[in-house]
Amino acid sequence: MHFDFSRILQGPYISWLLDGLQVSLLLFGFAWVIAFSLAVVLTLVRLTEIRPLVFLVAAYVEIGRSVPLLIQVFFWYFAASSLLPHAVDRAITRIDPEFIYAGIAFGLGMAAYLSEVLRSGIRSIPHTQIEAGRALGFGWLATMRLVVLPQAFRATVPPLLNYTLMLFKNTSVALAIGVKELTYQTRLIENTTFATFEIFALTTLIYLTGSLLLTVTGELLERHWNRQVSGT
Amino acid sequence: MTLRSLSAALALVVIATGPALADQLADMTARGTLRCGVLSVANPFGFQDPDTREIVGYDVDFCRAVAGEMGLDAEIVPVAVEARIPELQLGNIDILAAALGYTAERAEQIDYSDRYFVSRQVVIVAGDSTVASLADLDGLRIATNSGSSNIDYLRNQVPGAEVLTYQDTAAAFLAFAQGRVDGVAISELGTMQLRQQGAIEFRIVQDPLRIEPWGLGVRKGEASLVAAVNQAMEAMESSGQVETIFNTWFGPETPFHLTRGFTVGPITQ
Repeated sequence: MHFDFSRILQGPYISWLLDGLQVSLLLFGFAWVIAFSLAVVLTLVRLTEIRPLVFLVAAYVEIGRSVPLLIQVFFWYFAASSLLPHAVDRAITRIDPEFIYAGIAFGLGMAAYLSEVLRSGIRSIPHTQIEAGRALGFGWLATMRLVVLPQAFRATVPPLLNYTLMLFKNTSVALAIGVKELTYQTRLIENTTFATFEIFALTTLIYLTGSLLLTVTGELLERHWNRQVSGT
Repeated sequence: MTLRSLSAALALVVIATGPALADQLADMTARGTLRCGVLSVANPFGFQDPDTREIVGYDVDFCRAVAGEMGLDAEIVPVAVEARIPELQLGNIDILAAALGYTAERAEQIDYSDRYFVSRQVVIVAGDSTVASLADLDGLRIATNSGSSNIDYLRNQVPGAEVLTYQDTAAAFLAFAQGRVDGVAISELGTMQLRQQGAIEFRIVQDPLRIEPWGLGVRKGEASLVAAVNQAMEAMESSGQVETIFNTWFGPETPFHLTRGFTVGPITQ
């Protein structure tokens, strides 16, 4: 077999692919913001040690991690949308239901993983650190803010990056409900031109570049924080 | 010495990656089999019989008959929509009988046999919709399943429509039933199956999206294989085999009650 890229490099195909990349990045950003915000809330709730609340969060995390992403996407798009108030669903339908429900599904699903990452980060800080903070006269909140969280955050960067990468690639699942993201556009071009190998090779390269950029960003962040620590 | 081993390695790479030089038809004759790539989720073309667990359908019977006419044993290989072209190009299958609609652009990547089926592609809309012709679809959201040639036809015929593709036809129908899309592009056979289920109220837009000829797919550049397949198909047409296979799946005793509106012959568009 041989590669012949000229067929997909001419015509509208590259611009289709770039449109797809844009949708993928937007979806990724949208879902990540939902996931991270919710994960912070879930983690804080879990730290309160109020039993019923902790139980609810634990149940949420279990469900979020056990149900396949594709099913979560179908659930939000086809089922949950009909449970929402009609006016809300109408409004979403008028904007872009595929994108929004996919983003919600990814965000809520990924929040389960991220909250576990944040929780284990906090648990990795020895309790003596808190005691030391309190002994120095800091209140609970100040101890958290100045002693525990900065250290916990550094510990969570590598796994956080891991799940961020996973989310970036998993946005392709949204094609099942017709979100015109990168893999969707790839399959569309494949279907039109039958230049299967060429177009998938190109898309692989795009995903690889995106993932590498994310990895490098993570590395830089980690190094930045480490330097801060050694500097103070 | 280093140079020699380097060039030897290079030669190996060239041999390994170069196009297969052998003639596919000769390979098949030596092997005694015709490997047919068919779909396994496309009732009534290629699908799993719930009782026997075997892949059956119009495409399957047609490919078996072509093999028989060529004096070969048919080997039925189920392929996924996304994998069908790579399977063909890598030589894992000899021909593709997989509901393959002909478009000029696709024909640049693979060769098609003569037509062995003609599908009428239509658009359905809600029973109370005001859409009267394809032109009225402008600005509406139309669903179809991924991997379908309808995507192209919609884009060409109704550039103003927003095309959404779903995982499969069932998901597209669900979106239609829930009012997320205004219509579904589908084959006329599909509308008959949908009508039998009776779950969704719909109307067919009168002018067809496309009258689509289907061909068997052959890897590019296998002229002798295409010729042999076409010859077999012609023989099947004159012996009445095509008619028999058509009636088995679409004839008066099937839920479709169709009469054949095409004959085997060159695709001319």
